[in-house]
Amino acid sequence: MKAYENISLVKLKVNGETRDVAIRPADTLLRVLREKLGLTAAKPGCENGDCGACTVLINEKPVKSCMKLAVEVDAGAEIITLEGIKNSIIQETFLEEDGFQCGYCTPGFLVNAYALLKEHPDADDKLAKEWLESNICRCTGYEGIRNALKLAQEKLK
Amino acid sequence: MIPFNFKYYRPANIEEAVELYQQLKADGEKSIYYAGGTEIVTNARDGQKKYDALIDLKDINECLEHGEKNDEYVFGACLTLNEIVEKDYFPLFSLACRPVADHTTRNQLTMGGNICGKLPYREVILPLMLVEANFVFAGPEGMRTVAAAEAYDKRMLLNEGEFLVQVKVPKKFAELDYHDVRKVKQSEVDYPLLHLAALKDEADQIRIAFSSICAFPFRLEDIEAIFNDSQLEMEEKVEQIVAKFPIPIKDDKRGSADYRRLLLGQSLAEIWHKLGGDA
Repeated sequence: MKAYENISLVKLKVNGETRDVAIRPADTLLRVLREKLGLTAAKPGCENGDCGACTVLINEKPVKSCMKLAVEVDAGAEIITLEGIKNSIIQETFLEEDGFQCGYCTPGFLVNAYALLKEHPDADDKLAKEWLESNICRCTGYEGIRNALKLAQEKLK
Repeated sequence: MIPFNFKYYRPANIEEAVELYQQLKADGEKSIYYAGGTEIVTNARDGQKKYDALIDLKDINECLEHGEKNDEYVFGACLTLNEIVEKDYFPLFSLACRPVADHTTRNQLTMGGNICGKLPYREVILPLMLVEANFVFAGPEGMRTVAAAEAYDKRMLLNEGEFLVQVKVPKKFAELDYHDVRKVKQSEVDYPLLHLAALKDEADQIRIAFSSICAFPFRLEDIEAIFNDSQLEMEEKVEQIVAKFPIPIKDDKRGSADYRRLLLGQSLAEIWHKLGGDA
């Protein structure tokens, strides 16, 4: 049985690199990524699982890191943050299609859209909507984001 | 940030989990069984709930089982809702899982967490109430298998120190006609105003389970008898069904009781039509 009773040294595999980090069992993955590992792309928005700004990939699945305890992923899970997918096609198409305004929600959208493109490269509008409804943008609206996803799908063909 | 400390344990099997809970209790520590964490972590962060220890069940093989065994489908309590939707053994179950929260959250939110949690909706249980599902519990007295009708009444009827291990659904129910209606106020990602799951059984009787229209999910045979009475007009049925509800229809900021009743009438008519009640 694994047990974490106090501050513990754990190994987290983030963006392909294994990092040793001292954490409390009550630390969320979001806080550990930002405050202990300096990976600040995932954003604290609502910290209630609603907005999706904190989305990261765990074993290729998008997950809201504000609701995940860091100790839960101390088992060789592959964590990917936006820093781990830099220069991806979806980032290019967000720029080309003006898929953002203030940019605070953008890392969450990018990571989620990246996972969608990987798992369902030919996702139709219905499936894309189902995935991207997990993220909230409060300034620019969703048209540019939808267009960016479609353009990325075309470029990846 | 979660503003207090707790201990975190990940037992490797059922026995370890049960013994640990008992030990923590004997030590005067307040512990809780943990799966996806979506409810527990958010409640801890905003200070609604406080625990001394979490017992994570996700390393227990039985809680992750997902497949066919003899004439049943087996769903481990720690399966995420997306895993259930993607394998889609029992389509009505998938339909009930699919609209809960949002897609990303469903990569984390588990069947056991939805059913055993404190939120009042517990939509995932609706199909299980219709199909004579069996619930497997583990606790200090050992394992026990309980029929849906005895496992749930307003909430899961777990004894102190017990947790849900898995749910078993007879395969024959996956072949039957079904319909699912879920109404939300505005956004598709929202708590429902009502959620009904319905299934036409082998005797051509329509079974219905209700969530969100009242403070807890329920299924009542009296209601089904009224619904299946072909001598009654739909409006009469709705009036008699509402009179049989265990508690009044919810009346809150999401929707008034009158509005929910209107939606209920429309939803019941839709189920009647879709499942050939008027054929």
